[in-house]
Amino acid sequence: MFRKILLTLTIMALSTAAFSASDSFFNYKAIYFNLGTHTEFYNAVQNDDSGGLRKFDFAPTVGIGLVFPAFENWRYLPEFNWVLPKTYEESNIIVNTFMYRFDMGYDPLEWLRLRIGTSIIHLNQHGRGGKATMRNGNETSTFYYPSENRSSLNNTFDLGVETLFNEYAIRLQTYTYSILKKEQRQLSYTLFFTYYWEN
Amino acid sequence: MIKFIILFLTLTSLAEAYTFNNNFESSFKDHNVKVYVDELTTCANVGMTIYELNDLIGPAIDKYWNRVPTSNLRLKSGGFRSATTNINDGRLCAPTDDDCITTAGATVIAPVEEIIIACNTEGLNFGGDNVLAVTIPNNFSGKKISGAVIVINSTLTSIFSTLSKADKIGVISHEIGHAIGLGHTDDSAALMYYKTVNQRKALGADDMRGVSYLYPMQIDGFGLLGGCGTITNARGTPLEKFPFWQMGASLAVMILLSELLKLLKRS
Repeated sequence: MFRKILLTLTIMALSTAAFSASDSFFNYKAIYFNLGTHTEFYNAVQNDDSGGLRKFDFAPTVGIGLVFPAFENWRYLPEFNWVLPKTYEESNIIVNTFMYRFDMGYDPLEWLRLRIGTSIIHLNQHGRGGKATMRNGNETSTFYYPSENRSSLNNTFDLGVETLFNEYAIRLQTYTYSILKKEQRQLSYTLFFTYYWEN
Repeated sequence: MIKFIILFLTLTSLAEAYTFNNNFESSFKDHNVKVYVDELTTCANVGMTIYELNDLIGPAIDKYWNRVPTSNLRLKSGGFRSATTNINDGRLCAPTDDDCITTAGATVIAPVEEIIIACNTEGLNFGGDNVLAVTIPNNFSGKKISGAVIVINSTLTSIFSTLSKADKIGVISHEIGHAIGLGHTDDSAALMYYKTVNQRKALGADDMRGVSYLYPMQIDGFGLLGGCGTITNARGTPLEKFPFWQMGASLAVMILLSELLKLLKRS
């Protein structure tokens, strides 16, 4: 049933996109480049053995996006971001996060841009195999590292606020996972420094 | 400026890594798994009734493993289940551990379906009073787990009864981690660290990565479709596939939002 609803929504979206397409839509106004740091699952990941929860994580992120005029002070803002791979112990696991994003931007002031949008967040984990001997009760045991390539895909609901200084900008971008399901709902965010290159 | 950017991008952090119980990365075939208490288990030695034991399972699941949006694993407390042979005092052996099975003889704990928790008085299962519990997936279908047994150390000298309720929940959650296929990690912030820590409030990054690897979320739809299945190949490995559903859902939301804004503007 849900799949049918989603399929209907997809067809509606594609049709609407086709009707919405105008000359101005394909004439992008600017291209922009992001540099930032991403924090996954704010306040929901334990980061020490005393119960401390992670509020900030340094995970370098790069991205690129386009600015399309929409109407009045609104913009279409598709973008792609890549959270650079974290190197796990001796590179046994390589974790990449890719974000395929689409925002609507609203500029209430010349220096302020508010964003509302959605992402597909693609968490890719590449295991290189291997094994390790670790403590297990009063003894040690052999445990095994992952050896395959697997991905998780999530739709997120996103909000962002951006301050613009000429061709530069600073942005706080949030991503809400599982917004329709309370148990799994989590918030991630990225702090971006952006350079806009006008077309 | 360029030097700063290069320096920034090369500052990737080093972390510990999750592991698995075995080298074939086994996981449950179905990502909806129930956790039961054996109905005839007795936990008197550790000062608990089976109802108190059952009450620990909900928090152990909901506070930890069910909170990972990048994983489609959904654990549920199943209540009580009919008795498993020898679960109170038998030896818990892996199906491939011939030495254990031979030594145990008729006392070996029978294979189970899904996850069963019980209290157990056989000291050989634990190897020490300070070992709080042991878990072994003891039923496989090919390389997939069909069932796992968690036994709580209920020997007369067990220290399980001295733990706080929060620590008992943490121990059971750690054991459920083994039951679903995870091994230990060297990161003391992770639930799958080999021992309990001062305070446990959430999963660590390794735990979240590990459960997302074994049970990756593939059909999400903003949380609405998180219970849908995982598509696997013949070996049971989740397939890498183009995210049509995610693309459709995201695109639909954005276009509808865009059209709504246009309508509001016109009105």
